[in-house]
Amino acid sequence: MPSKSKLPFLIFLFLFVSLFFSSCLRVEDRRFPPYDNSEEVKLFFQRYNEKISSEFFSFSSIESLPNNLKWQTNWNDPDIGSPQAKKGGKLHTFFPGLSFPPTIRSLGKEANNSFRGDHWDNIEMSLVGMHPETGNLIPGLAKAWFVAEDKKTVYFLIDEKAVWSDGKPVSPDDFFMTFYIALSPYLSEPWYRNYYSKQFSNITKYSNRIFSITLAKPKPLAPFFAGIRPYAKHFYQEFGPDFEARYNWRVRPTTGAYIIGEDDMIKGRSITLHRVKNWWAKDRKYTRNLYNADKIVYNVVRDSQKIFQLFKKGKIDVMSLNLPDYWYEKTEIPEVFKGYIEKKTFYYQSPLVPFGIYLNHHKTLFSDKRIRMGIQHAIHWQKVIDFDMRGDVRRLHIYADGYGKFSNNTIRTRTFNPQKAREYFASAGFNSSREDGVLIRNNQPLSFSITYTKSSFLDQILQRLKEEALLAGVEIRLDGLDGVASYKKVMQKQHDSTLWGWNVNLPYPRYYGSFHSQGAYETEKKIPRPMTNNISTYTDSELDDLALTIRNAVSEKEIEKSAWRIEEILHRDAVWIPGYVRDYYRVGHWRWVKWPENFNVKVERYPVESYVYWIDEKIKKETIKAIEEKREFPEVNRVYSQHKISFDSDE
Amino acid sequence: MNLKNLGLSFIFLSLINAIAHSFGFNLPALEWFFHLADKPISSTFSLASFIGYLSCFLFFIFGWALFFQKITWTPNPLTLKKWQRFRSIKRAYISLLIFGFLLFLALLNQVLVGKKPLIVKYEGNFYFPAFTQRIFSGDFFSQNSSAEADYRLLRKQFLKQEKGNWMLMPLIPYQSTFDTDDRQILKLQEKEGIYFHHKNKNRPYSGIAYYYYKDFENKVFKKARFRQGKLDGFAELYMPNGQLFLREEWNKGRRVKVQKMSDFENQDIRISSPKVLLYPPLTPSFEKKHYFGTSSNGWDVAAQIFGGLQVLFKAIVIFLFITYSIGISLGCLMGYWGGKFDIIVQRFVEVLSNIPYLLVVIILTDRLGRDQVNLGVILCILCLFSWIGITYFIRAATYKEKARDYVVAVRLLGGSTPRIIFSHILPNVISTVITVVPFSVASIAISLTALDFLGFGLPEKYPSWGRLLSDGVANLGSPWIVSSVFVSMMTLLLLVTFIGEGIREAFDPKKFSTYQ
Repeated sequence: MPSKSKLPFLIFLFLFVSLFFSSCLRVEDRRFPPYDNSEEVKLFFQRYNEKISSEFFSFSSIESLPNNLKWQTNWNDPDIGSPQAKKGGKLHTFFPGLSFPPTIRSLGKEANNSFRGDHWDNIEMSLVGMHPETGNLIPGLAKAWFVAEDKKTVYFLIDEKAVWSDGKPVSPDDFFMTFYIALSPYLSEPWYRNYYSKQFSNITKYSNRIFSITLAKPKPLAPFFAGIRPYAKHFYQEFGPDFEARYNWRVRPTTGAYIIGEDDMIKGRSITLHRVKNWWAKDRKYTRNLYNADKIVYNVVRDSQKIFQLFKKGKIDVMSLNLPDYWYEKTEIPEVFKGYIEKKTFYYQSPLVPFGIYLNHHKTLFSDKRIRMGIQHAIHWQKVIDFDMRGDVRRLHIYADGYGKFSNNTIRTRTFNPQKAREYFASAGFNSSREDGVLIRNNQPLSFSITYTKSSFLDQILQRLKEEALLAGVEIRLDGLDGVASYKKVMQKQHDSTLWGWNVNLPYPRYYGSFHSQGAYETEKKIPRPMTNNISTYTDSELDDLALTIRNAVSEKEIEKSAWRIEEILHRDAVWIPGYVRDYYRVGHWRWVKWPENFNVKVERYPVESYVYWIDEKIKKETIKAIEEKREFPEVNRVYSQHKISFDSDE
Repeated sequence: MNLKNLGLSFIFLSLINAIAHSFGFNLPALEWFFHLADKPISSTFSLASFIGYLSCFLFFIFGWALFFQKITWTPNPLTLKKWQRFRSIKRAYISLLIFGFLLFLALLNQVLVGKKPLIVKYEGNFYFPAFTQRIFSGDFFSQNSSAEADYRLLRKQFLKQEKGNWMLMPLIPYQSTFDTDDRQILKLQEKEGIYFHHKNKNRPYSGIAYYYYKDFENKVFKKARFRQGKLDGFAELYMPNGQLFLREEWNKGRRVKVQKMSDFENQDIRISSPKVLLYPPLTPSFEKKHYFGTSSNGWDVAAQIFGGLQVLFKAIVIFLFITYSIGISLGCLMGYWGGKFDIIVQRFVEVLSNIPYLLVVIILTDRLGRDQVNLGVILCILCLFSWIGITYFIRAATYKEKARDYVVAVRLLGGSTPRIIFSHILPNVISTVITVVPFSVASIAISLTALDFLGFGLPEKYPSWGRLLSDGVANLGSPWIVSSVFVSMMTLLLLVTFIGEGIREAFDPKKFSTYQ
């Protein structure tokens, strides 16, 4: 009999051994029993129509198409990319979030991660696209489209060649599935339910290739807004309550050029995108010169320093060099001098991120316009531009810059001027100063905090602003938090101010979310409304009307006029402090990554997201041989400024 | 040993400080008490000056007690022997002297490091900006700004004007935080058409250089790339308003391509020779008084090291006081009372000791926001978890002493519990803890540095070695950052370790008692 003291050890041993063996046996995954939602979907369509007491999901026949239907299409714009592009090769890169994505779903919990763009937004095709050079609509999954007279309903004709990567043809049912999923209660994010129920009012199937989508309100560029992406009906057959777990690592069929490789996905380490064999649009105009690399390999690199080291070794092919120390000092290396790594600067024309300090007007300090004016004069962005950015960026003056004619480029924001700032502060009662130079009013210092997501780069520029603001008698407290915490604090409107930049999109500027009073306060209560994009808690009745006008506008003229006026109001009220913008990107790449003659497309903000590059295997071999033989190529450092808009300097 | 002199100096110091502060002076060292609390509580009551005066008062009382109560301290012959022994260990004794000297330097504060001059002679009058609470605005020295005067600029102006105005700056004329020096503009030396490196006169220059307009201050005329001392690659030419008007391409000093962007007459303009712009991190330079260079955000490294040392000293004093007060009291009580009290506190100690305290600090500072955190908060959390180790030593030693005859004797004579513990047991058990003190000092220094290194420590207004270290690691191309902070850290820890070694040797009981 084992002695008493050995008993626990034996039990432990038994448990360990049994655990070990149980993990070796392959037990069938019982978590996800077979599921078929075909009936559920049909019932849902009926019930939804009853619930909103109008026809949202309709099924009709080809005879009931309007008589005046005249298909429109556009095959006249120039091709995208270069005809010299060669197919083949591998592009090595890294996960943009510096960590392995939590899921490969495109929606649901944690789907909105930094890798989603690379496997969903940039890859998956929508019904119609926008030409990145001309801005015109071009065919996507739909070969042709037609906008009805009400400017709300758009008819689509699906390309007969359009198939999913598993060979099944794309049909209107897949778009019905999009609505089913987006409106489904199984989705934990309310955004989709909200957007799809408010922005759309109907989808009708006429045949296996023709269907229509109706927007809730008329819009210019209606085909673009109605041009949603399909969700394969046969793949999402098991979409149900356990959808998030069930589909977390399931590779979906795609209509785009790349599919996630199921066999070479190493969880926690790497994901490879494979070019779809016999992709249906590979010989089609607009897409035939794109998506050239056979594989795109994403690896986990947890540190930005390490990315650069891997890039120097050629383990990463393309690296963004926007930060000045990378561009000017860290890339002064033999690999560049000898021409193995090429440096390029490309000016793009795309909406510019409205980056700057957003003041929370709900706070007593910022409810006073004189203080806001003073603060605008106390923030020394120009010093950040000259010192930290080495003069390579320019000051932002308005909220919606980079929208062409919609941008009111006559406005110049207030520049750093401690003297003027002090005058404004004095008029608001800040007359004396504390021992450390901070102005005080009734013994309360002129002090506010800036909430931001901590990073060494933002730390540095905010420290600069803090140091300079003291010259105007303002104390800035730096409230650097991790991403989730700072986002939460701002969304709860608990911040004094925040360093923020909205992700903005074409085709025209939008102000409703960020400045309309609807998002500022709870109705009839003087408490800020949480979880809205009006992070300034700003209200102005004139701006409200103008923002709504833009939201519901049917003509571009109307939008232009309102947008110009809104910028004047934002400037007049010193609502926020515009920061700086960079309207170019700088990139370094190994010489075997080839680009079209003009380098890239006009509107893309990141070099690789246009997929115009190709990998030249021959040059890769030649380069590797040259490195071994210590041969050199001429150094390459080119600027592509064909899309640069020139501005006068401010100071 | 008479403590009269010590008492007198305490009285003297506290009086000078209170009086100096109330008259608007700002003296090094004790003035710190007036900066303990930095947020005013209400408009009439200032917590900062309250704490300042209170600490002066406490110092005064302490000195008074020493001086007038004629408290004499007759050291135990054993203690004297231990001290003698410690002194005889040369390495430890010298380390202690150096440590003391560093503490003295840290106390000198703005005399050594700071952007305010010690003495300014301006138009016949003397001013002492570093030692007064008054802020001299730029207007005062005719600098045309109502913000505080820019003394480094003023110094240059004085030299230029030659009106007999002068100033004496501290040894390191930079504040330890939020004091960025401007970028440096250096001329490239030309020899036979080849431009040479600004530092290494024999190396042809490769990199970006700028040509300036001579008639417009700080306006760039041309930005160009140099390779091996010659123009090579692109060059961009700007108008005085900053707009690009010409783009050139060069190859080994020969212009190969010109691309006109807009019309601009550039006939009669005067252009400077090419200059190189140095951005931080700047290399160490005696000329610029950046003895250890600057960090990547442009702050002086030497000033940050000095400031970081001050913060560490403050932290060490507060930390040792709190941790050892709690640890020794609880440990003594546990050992003396024993029984249920001992068992309960021990379980509590076990729970606490299983919490990874650095993580607690990280989570807390992250959730609170850097804005809300200060040295006090972080030290409180660290202290909360650090007294545990001390109770172990003290508890065991007290258990041992409790059974000795002298304790029984005091109890029989009717001594109260506090009296027995603090007057009789404590002096006999204290020697075991003293040997641990140096390790506590090392651990607090490491903890604070580690937290700052990870980015979860003190906010930026505190200079910090940890942040400097992380900056140095991120910029290994600028070795002066990482090497200077590494050397300082190593020196401090080495000193502490040597002192600790000496104390352990000196307090070793085997040296004094022999059992036969």
